[in-house]
Amino acid sequence: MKDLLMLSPIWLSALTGILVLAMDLLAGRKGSRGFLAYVTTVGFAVTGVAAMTYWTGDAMEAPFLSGILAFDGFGLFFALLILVAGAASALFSIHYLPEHDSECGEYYALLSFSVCGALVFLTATDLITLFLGLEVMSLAVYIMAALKQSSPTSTEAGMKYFILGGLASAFLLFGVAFLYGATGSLNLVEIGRYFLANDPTRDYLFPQLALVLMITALGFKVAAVPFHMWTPDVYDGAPTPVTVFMAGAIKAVGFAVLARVLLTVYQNPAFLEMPVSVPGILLVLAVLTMFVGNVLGLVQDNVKRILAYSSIAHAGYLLLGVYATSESAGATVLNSGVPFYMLTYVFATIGAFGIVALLGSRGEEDMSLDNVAGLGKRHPVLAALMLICLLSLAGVPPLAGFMGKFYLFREILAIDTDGNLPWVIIAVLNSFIAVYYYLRIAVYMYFREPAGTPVTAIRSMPGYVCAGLAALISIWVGLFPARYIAASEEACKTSTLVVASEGNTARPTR
Amino acid sequence: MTLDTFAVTPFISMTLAIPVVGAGVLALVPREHGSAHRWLAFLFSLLAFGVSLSIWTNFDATLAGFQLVEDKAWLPFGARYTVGVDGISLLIVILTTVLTPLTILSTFTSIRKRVKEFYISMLLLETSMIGALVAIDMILFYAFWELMLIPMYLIIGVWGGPRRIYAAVKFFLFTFLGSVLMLVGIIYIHLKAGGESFSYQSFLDSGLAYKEQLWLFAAFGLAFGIKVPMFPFHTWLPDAHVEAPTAGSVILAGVLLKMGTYGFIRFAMPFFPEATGAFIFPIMLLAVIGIVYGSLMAYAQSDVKKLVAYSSVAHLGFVMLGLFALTQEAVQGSILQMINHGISTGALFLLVGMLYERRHTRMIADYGGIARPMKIFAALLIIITLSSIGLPGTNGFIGEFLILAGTFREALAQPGTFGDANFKTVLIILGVLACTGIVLGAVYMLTMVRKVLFGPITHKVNEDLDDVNFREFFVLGCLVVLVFWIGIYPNFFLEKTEASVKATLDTYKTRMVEHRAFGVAAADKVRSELKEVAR
Repeated sequence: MKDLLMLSPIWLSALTGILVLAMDLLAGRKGSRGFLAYVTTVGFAVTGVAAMTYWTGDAMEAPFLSGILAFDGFGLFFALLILVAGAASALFSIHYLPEHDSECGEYYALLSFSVCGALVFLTATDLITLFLGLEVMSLAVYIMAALKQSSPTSTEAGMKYFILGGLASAFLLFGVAFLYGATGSLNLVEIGRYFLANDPTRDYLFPQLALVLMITALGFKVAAVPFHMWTPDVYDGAPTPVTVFMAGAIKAVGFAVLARVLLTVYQNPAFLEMPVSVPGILLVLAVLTMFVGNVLGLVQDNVKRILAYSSIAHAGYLLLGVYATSESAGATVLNSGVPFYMLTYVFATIGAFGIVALLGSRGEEDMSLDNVAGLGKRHPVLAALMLICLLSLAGVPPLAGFMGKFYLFREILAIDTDGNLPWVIIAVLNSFIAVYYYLRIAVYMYFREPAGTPVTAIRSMPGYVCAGLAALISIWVGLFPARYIAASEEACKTSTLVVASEGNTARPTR
Repeated sequence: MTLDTFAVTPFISMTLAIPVVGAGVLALVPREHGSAHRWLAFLFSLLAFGVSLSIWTNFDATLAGFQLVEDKAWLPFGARYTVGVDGISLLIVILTTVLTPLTILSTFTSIRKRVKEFYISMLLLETSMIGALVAIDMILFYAFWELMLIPMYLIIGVWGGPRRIYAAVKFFLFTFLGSVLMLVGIIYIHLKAGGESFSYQSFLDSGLAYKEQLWLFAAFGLAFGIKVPMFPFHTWLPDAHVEAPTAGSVILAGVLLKMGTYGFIRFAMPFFPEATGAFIFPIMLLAVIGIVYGSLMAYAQSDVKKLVAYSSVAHLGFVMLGLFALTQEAVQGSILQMINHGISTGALFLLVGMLYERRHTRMIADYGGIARPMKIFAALLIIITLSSIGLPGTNGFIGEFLILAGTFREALAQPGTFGDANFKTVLIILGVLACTGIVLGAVYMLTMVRKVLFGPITHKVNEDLDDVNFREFFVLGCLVVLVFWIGIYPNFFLEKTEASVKATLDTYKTRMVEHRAFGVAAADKVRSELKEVAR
């Protein structure tokens, strides 16, 4: 019974999807499907409450289902972010979908199933379960991205995401196979223990290959350079509420899994001395991701694409956070700047993409900067909310994004002040570059007169409320971040599954 | 519950909160009531001024440390909400609360579009400026410091002139670039000092090595130097000033620039005393270059507003010179000169704004002889001009005199003889060059006044320009009163700064002068090489 309750967030989210399907069927052919969004939101809320009730503490003390899933504080933190992004996506869809002729009840069911998959992906400690979660999550999103049948870009987005996503899944499976070959186990805990107990430098080929393959796959999900090529096209082409979900939930869960898998499997400090090491790869990816995301963001002239590149750049800062932890030998918990930063990023990005979703009425899908010019005059409230979200993404005080950056950089420097200083300086210079393109959107919204064909906002009360909440939380977390930082620290305590103790760590024999 | 139940009556927090509350109230008032927004904004800023007077009266000038301190837990790892004032910040806080209501009053007719947003921006700007001045926790300071950018950016970008977008973005990017490196510096010191606290005191006690200090001073100095703005980081200033609406220019020149010089004396110098010493010569050199260059550029301008903008570069050069001369007079004079510059240049921008409102041009050539139709205006402009060039009896004289006297006193106290490659020679040469700046200041200001006010009326429209109305007269009258008050009885203001400045210099001066000769030898080498080349 207890097991069933611990599992409840996963089956509740799946149940939400089934309920939505049933209600869609019962509601007949005609009529709005908006109410299904509320059903989904309520379902996610219940799921969240269940997660908060049952996912506590350290899962390692009580292995669940012979250790294929771990329900702990780390899972809870990211599960809540996923659910928030999912609910926001549902609420932004209510008026977006009918406005763009793509309303269907199945959409909300797919969203629920995707959330369910994300929760499995997030909490899995068994690599096959992890793969299963990834596929359930991704397959639903592939369909959602291609939902706008009339729009070629949407179809292209779905197709592109599907093909590249399939490739990434293959890489992940390949990596899993190598890990299995090296250790004889599919369980993350056992793999971690195996590498701690046995000197990994003896048969290093398999773990090294697995590392490269898994980082490729997970890097694809979090949109790290050079696995980011799909991001602008898919974020731009997909229906915007789906982009909200991808930029919020999928990025969050991708990071959680990336951090957990890498930190659990490659815990033995001996790995640090190998030619291909976790920190080595992460650092290269982080710096590349920051620069490519920000520099390419400068030359975009479409709001959705700017935000897509911004989302790539944010992955860079987060990767730097994971890098700092992995680089310090013997660090067993993820640096708590990462989850907190993710929280600030998720809310700001939900708000920003959500407002973009509200902006285009029927047929207005081109979110070029010219089309949003003069928005401050035509829709002052939406423009103000957008400005708050953009400034939060840019990291301007007193907004959440500033606190996120400040805390992340502090934690990175706290791990190794002198060693990490150059990377933090690179990161702040990047956040300086980024200011330019965030300001560019603000310039068009506030300082320029309308050019092109100005977009008109959809009237959508739930959407407005959602965007308002995202902006409000961005201010609130910026002003009073203490308890969210504390939650992040709590989550990080269980970020790594095997905690190495001095005695059982095998060192290379020379 | 009476106010006595608080350990300290939170005057500072109240001053900080009132404009924010005002902005909230304005946000709720419907857009149609333009004049309600104006009056509400004015009333709230006036209220903030009233409360800030309580800070003034409760301030004990004989004490050196922070007073009226409020301290509350805010973030984990030691960042706290800690605010307080001392002699260095008090005057600038009051300047801010004085200038804001006057500026708001001056905009009653000039701001016609998006009235509501304008006054919300002004009030938020006021809070962030005061916040940066009273914060004695480094993260709190940094938050307010960065927050200042957003309202100013909007004020320039939305209500500015034709090239406002370029100017607003340039302003934001320049100042943001300086600040982000300072943030890394703040985190670095925090961690080196134990990672427990962001308090001002813990940063003072951080015990950094000389080499670390040099880098950190460079990071902080870049942030503050851009804001001052010091030559060669000044290029954003003329653009921002020219494009900003009058109110934006007044606040920008009056208070925002002071944040840079305030940052040096409050943070960069005491945090990194040894590094300060090493940077004294380069910074004083840049300050003097700023004085001369700013004056020459001002003389060359045909746009009145640009002229005033370049004169700011020169005036702030004086302030920087005084701060780094490190004598009691010079530093106190610098603090007073910050106030003077706020009053005089603020008033000049207001006057230019009034002309612009009437004629919609700022070109000197479009005026001439307007003293005849605008008699009161002419009188006010002359008074303010004289104050700006430092005529005895006005505030500008006191500030510049103290700065130069302090600089020369420090020069004479140096060992060695004039003419050798030593710090004495350097200080004397720099001091003399700075004095030429005063002459140049008189040249460009009086030339401008002559061309605008006197001579024949060359443009027919200028013949029947309206003189200043009561509202405009009131705004300028307040500033003129301050001009003479500081000019005739400066001690009323100077005594507030004395103890704090003395304590700072007593504590840090010996460590600061240690590396002061840094760069002097190099300058001498350059000099002798130039001699060789000349031969």
